[in-house]
Amino acid sequence: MKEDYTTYRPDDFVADHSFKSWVLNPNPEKDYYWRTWLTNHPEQSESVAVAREIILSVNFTTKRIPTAKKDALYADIINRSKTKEESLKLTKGHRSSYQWLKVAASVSLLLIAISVGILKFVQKDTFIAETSTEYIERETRRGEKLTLTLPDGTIVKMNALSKIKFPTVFGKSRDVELTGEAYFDVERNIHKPFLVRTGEITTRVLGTSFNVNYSSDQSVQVAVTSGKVAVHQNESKESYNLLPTELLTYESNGFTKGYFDEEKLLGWKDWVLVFEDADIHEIAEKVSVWFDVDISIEGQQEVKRRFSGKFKNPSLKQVLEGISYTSKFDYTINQKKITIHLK
Amino acid sequence: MDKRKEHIFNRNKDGESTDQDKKILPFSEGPEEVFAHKTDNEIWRSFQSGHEGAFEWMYNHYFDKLYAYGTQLTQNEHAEDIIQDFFIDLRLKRGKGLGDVANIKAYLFKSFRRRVFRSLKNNKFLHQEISPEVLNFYVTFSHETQLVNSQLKEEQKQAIEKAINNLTTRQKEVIYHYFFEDMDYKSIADVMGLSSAKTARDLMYKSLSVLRSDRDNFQV
Repeated sequence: MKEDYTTYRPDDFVADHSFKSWVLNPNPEKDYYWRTWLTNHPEQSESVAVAREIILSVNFTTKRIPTAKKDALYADIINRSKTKEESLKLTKGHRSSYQWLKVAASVSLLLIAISVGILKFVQKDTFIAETSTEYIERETRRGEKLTLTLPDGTIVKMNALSKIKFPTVFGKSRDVELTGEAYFDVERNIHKPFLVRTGEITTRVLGTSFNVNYSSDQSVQVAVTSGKVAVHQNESKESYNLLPTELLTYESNGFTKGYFDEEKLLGWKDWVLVFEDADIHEIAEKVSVWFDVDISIEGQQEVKRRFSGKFKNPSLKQVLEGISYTSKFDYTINQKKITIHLK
Repeated sequence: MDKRKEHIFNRNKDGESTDQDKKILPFSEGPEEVFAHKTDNEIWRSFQSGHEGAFEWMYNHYFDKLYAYGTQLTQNEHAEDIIQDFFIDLRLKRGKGLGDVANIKAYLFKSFRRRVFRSLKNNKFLHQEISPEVLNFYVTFSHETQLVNSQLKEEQKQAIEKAINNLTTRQKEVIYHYFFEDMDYKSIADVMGLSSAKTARDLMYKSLSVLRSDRDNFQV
């Protein structure tokens, strides 16, 4: 709709969507139209100037969420809607018999998995309980991940090659010892602080979720996804408070604070394998721990190729296929031994 | 695809799993690239058919805008909870009879607005009852905008800011969508549930007439 702009006053221009849109979000098309029009109607140039200024001066005081937090929210939205979707699927009464079969099959698979888990748990725990009466120790091997519930209801997701130790009954505080990496979703209890001990560092919370990674080189990383977390060095009284999206790293030279990319750092707990600008050695290291395989690298190692990508709950083959395509290598799988031939 | 089943496959450490349904998602084909030249209607249909990237695209494009709008409406920090619930419900509703959408932005603003009002009405996040009429859009009239040949004097700018903030909430909301979101009148009417684009335009003119009554603001 082309208006007769020759009689427009400044406020008419302000109220005209086409004009306002040109001022706010110009593009070549709008520019062409309005510049041509102005050249042909110099008598309106002052009204246009006033209208432009009014439009550009209207502001609203709005708020923004930092990008890291926005990404964390996105992961949370996906997780929560998936969980809801699952429970809706399972409670829905009307569905075809075929779908019922599928659900029944997956439920029974789940039950088997749970009972196997319980069996393993019971066997291992009674064994430990006999030798040391107070503590439970769980350990994950390469290629393994484990989710467990602590006596207080806290849920712990353990990454591969990690070890956790906790008492069968918590005392005044909820003390947990960790080596390796685990994600904690702590049951809230303001009367009993939850403490994760990792070498020289202790992480203290009341009820929140966070990730702790205590590597073999003695460094500790604490990443918070919800609530508030305090971290301190055991001899020192000074503690560092961490909020969601924040990451604290402890190394021999002290603490450093920053932000983290939730998917990259915590993807593992949702079975997402993430590579960001990773070279072949980093890829080999991650893949061997994730799938419990040995990887040897052959061929042209001088050429540095970097790979970024994410795999949702992948099979070994999918990962190797995906990376080999972009990173230009061939591979052979011989049971648990993989050889990568760089081209 | 049953997610739990996948987990069990993985827990068996079955590296050779032949399940071909799982997707590989390299960053090089993010939603930005995939949907760059698609129309709103095409993106909406992808979303409806369960395309995860379409959902991500909508999130990436409209989260900031909806959040900014939400904080204007609620004036408190619970905009974060509301927007999170909003996106969760949106994702849950896909493929379940949501109609065709030709203008995603207007659709999202419209349903988000409804959700905010419902949350406020249910008192979920507030300690007192609140009606849409007392909601406050605070408009500032920038004193920093320095155009090369400024046509407006400082006092004129102040007068305009004062006049805008004396408008009704409805008028201010129109101004918000019109200037801050660069919406056209049809979208504004759609979002705010006004009977027609003309109603939205009339509201805008009413707002401007408040300014016009102070002729000086517009006289060159």
